[in-house]
Amino acid sequence: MNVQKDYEMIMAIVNTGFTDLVMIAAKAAGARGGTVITAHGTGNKDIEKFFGVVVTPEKEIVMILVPSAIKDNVLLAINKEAGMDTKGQGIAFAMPVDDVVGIVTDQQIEAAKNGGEQ
Amino acid sequence: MVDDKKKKTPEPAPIPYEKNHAVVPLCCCITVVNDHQSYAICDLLYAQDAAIACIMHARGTASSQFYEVMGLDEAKKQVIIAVMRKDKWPAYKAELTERFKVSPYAKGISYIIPINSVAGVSIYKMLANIQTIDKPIKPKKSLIGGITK
Repeated sequence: MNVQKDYEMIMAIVNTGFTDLVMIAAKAAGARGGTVITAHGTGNKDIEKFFGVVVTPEKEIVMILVPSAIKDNVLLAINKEAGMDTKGQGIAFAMPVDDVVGIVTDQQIEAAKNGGEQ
Repeated sequence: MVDDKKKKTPEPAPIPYEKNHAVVPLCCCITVVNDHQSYAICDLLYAQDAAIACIMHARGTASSQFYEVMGLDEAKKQVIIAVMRKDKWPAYKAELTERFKVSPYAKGISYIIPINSVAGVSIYKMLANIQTIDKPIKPKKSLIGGITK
């Protein structure tokens, strides 16, 4: 049994202040948590004119590690709530993860709640 | 006539790097830990011959209930992105597993993403931390008065 192979990392790049929307959507689709990094966008000016959008340079990157089974649902939920058609102007994509260490399973959380061994 | 003499024979095409060296796959290792834990993780990475490690400040988004259960009181995180050889991952994973057991504050997650391309052999050598010398080093000529002839 190779559980580690069954994870993928979803990376969502959104305008600053829209990470809450991303996480709400991701959690509704089954994700547990994520990590937010501050970033700076460098959009192409020609593309901005062509598509008629203004690329806000202040960005935030949300990294979410999810089981492969719910990856599509999480991506769709993020795209719906904070995609390019919204004020969040988010781009979300997934990357394969070869191996994982440190993931806390639901069983371990339940055991911790009940005062058992973690 | 003079120009013909000056013409040199064309040099043979260089042998591709992978033909005469063992190429080990690289991977991008992302480690997310609590604040102030990054230097300890970097020490583990460098012990496993990781070439570079980039530390970034971040924040976690797990629910407050999760933090209470895990015994944590803040969501400040540090993300360490490193490039390492894939054959070094099992040893790093084992050390990391031991480190995560130290306390709830020392907990974190780490995962690897495969790298399938690099821009040039020299970049690969740097990222894989392989110092190989392909060309023999010519011995220096004798010094006359401290100046190389």
